[in-house]
Amino acid sequence: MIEINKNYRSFDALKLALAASPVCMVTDILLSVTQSIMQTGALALVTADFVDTASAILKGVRPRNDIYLPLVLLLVTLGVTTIIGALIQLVSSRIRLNLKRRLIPSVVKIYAALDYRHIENNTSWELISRVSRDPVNSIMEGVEAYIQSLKIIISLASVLILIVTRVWWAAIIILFFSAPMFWLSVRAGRKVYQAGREAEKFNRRTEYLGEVLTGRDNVDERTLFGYSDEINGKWQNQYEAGRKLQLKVTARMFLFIKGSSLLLVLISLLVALTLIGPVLTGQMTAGWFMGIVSAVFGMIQKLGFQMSRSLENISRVGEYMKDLTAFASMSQTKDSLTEPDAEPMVFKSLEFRNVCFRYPGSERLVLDGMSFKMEAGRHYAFVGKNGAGKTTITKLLTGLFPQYQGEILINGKELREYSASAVKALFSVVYQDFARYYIRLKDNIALGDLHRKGNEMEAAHLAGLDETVNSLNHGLDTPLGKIMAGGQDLSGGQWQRVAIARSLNSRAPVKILDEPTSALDPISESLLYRDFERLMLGKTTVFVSHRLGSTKLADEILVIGSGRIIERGTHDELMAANGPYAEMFEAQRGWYL
Amino acid sequence: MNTEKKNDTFFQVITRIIPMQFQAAPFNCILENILAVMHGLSFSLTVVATQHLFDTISKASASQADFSDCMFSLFLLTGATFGQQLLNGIHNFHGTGILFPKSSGKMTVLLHKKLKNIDPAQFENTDFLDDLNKAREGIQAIPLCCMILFLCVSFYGVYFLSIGTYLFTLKPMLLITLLLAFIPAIMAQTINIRVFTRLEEQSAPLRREHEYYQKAICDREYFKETRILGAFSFFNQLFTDTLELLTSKIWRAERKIALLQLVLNITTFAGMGTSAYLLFTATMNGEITVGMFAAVFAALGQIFDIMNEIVSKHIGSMNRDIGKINNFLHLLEMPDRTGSSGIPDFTIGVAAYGISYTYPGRENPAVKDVTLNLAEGETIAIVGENGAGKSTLVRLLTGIYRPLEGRVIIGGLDTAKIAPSSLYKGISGVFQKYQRYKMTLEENVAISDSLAKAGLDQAESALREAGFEKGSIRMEDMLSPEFGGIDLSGGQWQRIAIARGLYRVNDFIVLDEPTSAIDPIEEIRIYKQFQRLAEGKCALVVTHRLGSAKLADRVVVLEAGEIVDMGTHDELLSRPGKYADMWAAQAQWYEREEK
Repeated sequence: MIEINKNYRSFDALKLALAASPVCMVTDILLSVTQSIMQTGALALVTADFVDTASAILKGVRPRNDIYLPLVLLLVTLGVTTIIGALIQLVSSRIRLNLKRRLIPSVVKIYAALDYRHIENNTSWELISRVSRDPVNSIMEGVEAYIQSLKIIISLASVLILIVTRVWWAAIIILFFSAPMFWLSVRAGRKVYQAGREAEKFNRRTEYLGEVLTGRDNVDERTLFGYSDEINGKWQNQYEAGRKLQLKVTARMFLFIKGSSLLLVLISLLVALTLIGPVLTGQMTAGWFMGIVSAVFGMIQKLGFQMSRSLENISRVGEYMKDLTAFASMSQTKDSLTEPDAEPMVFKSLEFRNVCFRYPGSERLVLDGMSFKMEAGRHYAFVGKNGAGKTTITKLLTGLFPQYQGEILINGKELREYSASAVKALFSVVYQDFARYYIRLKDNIALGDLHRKGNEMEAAHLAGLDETVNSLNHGLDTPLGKIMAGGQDLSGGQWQRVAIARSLNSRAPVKILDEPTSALDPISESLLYRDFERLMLGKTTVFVSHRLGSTKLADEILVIGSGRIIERGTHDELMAANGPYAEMFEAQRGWYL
Repeated sequence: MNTEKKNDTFFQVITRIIPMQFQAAPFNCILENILAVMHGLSFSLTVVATQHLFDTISKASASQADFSDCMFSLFLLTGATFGQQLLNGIHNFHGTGILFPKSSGKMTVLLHKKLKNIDPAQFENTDFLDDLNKAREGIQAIPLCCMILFLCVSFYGVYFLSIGTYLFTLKPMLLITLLLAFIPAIMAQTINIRVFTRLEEQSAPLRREHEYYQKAICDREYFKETRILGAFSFFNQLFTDTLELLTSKIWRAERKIALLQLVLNITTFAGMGTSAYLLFTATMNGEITVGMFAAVFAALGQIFDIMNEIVSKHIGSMNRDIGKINNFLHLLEMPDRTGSSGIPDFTIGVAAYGISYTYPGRENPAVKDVTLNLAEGETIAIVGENGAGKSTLVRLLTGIYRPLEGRVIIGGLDTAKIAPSSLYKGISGVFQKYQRYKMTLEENVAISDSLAKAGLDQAESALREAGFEKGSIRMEDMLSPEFGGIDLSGGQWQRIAIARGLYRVNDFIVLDEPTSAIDPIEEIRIYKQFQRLAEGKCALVVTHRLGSAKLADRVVVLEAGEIVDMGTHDELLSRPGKYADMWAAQAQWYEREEK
């Protein structure tokens, strides 16, 4: 794996490629240099030699046999230029693959270790997606652009050197005129690139509409509501608008590319013009003239495009490297990639002391002076309306957001002072938006306790998954979801039971269930409640729910409103108090009277 | 379907995509070809001009021509090159700047239109999703492939024809040069196609798996849970393993192609060498001048370069794309869900006769032999355990899926025979997987009935009815931070989804488990509203909350895809059975404690 540093410039694309695949990278550069010398300077030289020898033979000045050496040289040059291309292709695809193998895991590793707040924050999320979308291509484009630039420079230099050896002053004239031109090209290239980025922004919306029209998740609504035509119309409008914007950018780009090509034609004219005199005076042979002019005019065709593309891609990779730098320097959570401790610590108590919290980038205080204490071995329930801050409590507890004010004490010691692996081993959470891992059912459950295998079947049984397991083609070994071959999808409720089984498999002393029953049917829900007490014997449980039936089981119910505890007590106490809890409970009971 | 499908050959594909391309942008296709012809001619012209200059220079070195002769020849060459570069710019600009984006837009529209008519059940099929993914990549491949073909015929063809004529006038034998350059190119392309189509087929599932493992570590959906479970190493292992497999697979294909390229290049070189030798003997025999030799020799490089360009770049990229194009074409060939038109009459209600349905790739049917009649104005609640087939039944009863056995008649129309556009007129719904469209608030509601153009007032009243707390949010506000809009809570989104269902003019409405993110007091309000709104309409409610089933005229109890009981709430409660069990299980939590 490649170490990713925190300070990259455009040029570092080459270093990354070199680190990923040193041998191939050096080979690639050597081959590229050889190719450009062969195609220009060497070819001009052998052509000159051949033409001059042939002319001399035709004039009868030299013997006929003298032609064979120049001919062989000519053919060898030709042969090398022809064959070298395939080798370069092979080497560069090897570099690409090595980069993929060595770089992407590094990017993923950084990504996985980022502070959780970056994931929920949209600005940083955009940067993260931009960087992780296609790092290999972004870097390879830059690498190829640098190599291309090198080839251009070598080509030009080799021809220039040839000219210098014959008529030195011609070379000076050429340099004098071409240097400012190149400088202009570089500047124009940057501008074109920036304009292109503007147009790219526009296309994001078009892409989204395309997803609406082709995606899997909204197939029901798409079919029934029949909005395909309407959205397709919108898509077309967006696309056309974006296309026209892009057209202007492309037009400008071509103007620039061809502008520089036409300038190159003029420079070539200049070269040829300065060389006519020496030919007439005999200072230069006709063969040399032909060799040089062929090389120079031959370059025009390729150079215009290659030069501008390389410049554009160098600018692009520069931007990418900036993003990569920003990505690598984002704050990471210490030990975030560790596995939970093999043996969870003994849990005694958990206390929130005047905790205040707002999500990064948000003004609203989600928790506003939250204080409560929980003891080991008891069952607690959090209830309250949506947005009251129930789920936020679970996020703080598990260390996802350490930037809270106030104190969270575990066994009397501040949460932030524990190691990440200890906290992971302490809590097992079934989130409302629990993850549906599209891997084998067995692995889905096994993830609950990475240090202990073999209890998956029992956990599945306890979570009421027996029937599901039987209905799957390969039982516990069936891959879930549509990713792996032979994968089978589960319903929302079945998935939720998988999540519960995962939690049951965990040996964490504190179990948090965030709305665990919202997708369960009545019987399963009821069974779950009943089993829960039995299953969680000796454990501390925290239920987050607005299904008040479940909360009756709790030893203590904490009612949350506007970021703090507004009521707490047993079910009976709260009903007797006739406060917000009683109101909600009565409303729900209304159904069953 | 994926394994059985045959892939069309290269030429079959070409004959199919060329007409598509011309249909997409007829004028631009013609212009593209005209530009290509002129561009091709300009290349040959520069060769002639180069020869002219070299001849003059040869004479000049022998003092047979003066400075002005050389100047004239040089300006001729410069002029030709200038024109060639200009044409090159215009031609390329037209191709990449105009023709390509224009036609790939048209192709995308074609795909969108096709997807509209494809059986929605296909979206549950992994193979189809795979193919769809590849077909989406095929969108750009078609115009690209066609442009390369145009280039081959009108540009390279014209170039080779004109340069061939020129060579022929110099020495007929030199024509062999072109032949020598062509043969290896054609040989290679047939083998090339196979390698890349196979790579694509083989690596697609692996790539999907690999990309998924990255998601399981990095995506928002998974991030926090993977972290807290400490499952990074687990997924990272899978991730790097699949990466190794994938890259070694790609490497094998790349290596094969590169070796092939090498052999091809050696053949090409043999051709070049032979041509050079022919030129050489002609020069030595005095048949052509040294100037001609140099000009043609320089052009020889160009001829073989261009040939190399066609083979390794253009044909190469065409070969890489042909698999994707095949997928696109196969998708377009899939059967359309069409049917005759008709007007549903909901006074007849909705009926299902012995319907069964099995998802592709599954053994057990999700719905088995269900017969059900929903009378005019009746509300039926469907209850059952998870996986009992409730959502599938809803999809069948609304005509989203067509039953594999039996018939579903909606308002007198057979869902298997009537075109979707007629069928869904008058049906609305709120789905379990409701969408959060990254559009404006108004669009989010009005998307359910885009033909109605009912307007802002209608959308606002639907939102009010659904209990959406508008606050300072305006109808034209974008509901997506990604596009510079605002972020809503899950509960707010659910209310939008309900408003969406209400907005669509309907006589038959489906409510699939709408309350999972709404608190108890809200939930009751919405169910009551729904009951009111369902009055006089056919309605289906899928629910876990048996309390809400009380509001329905009839309750259908589903188990393992079959109806096990049916009746009013009271009837079902009065007799022992699944429903009574479920009710008892749930209601106990709310019974008053007798002290």
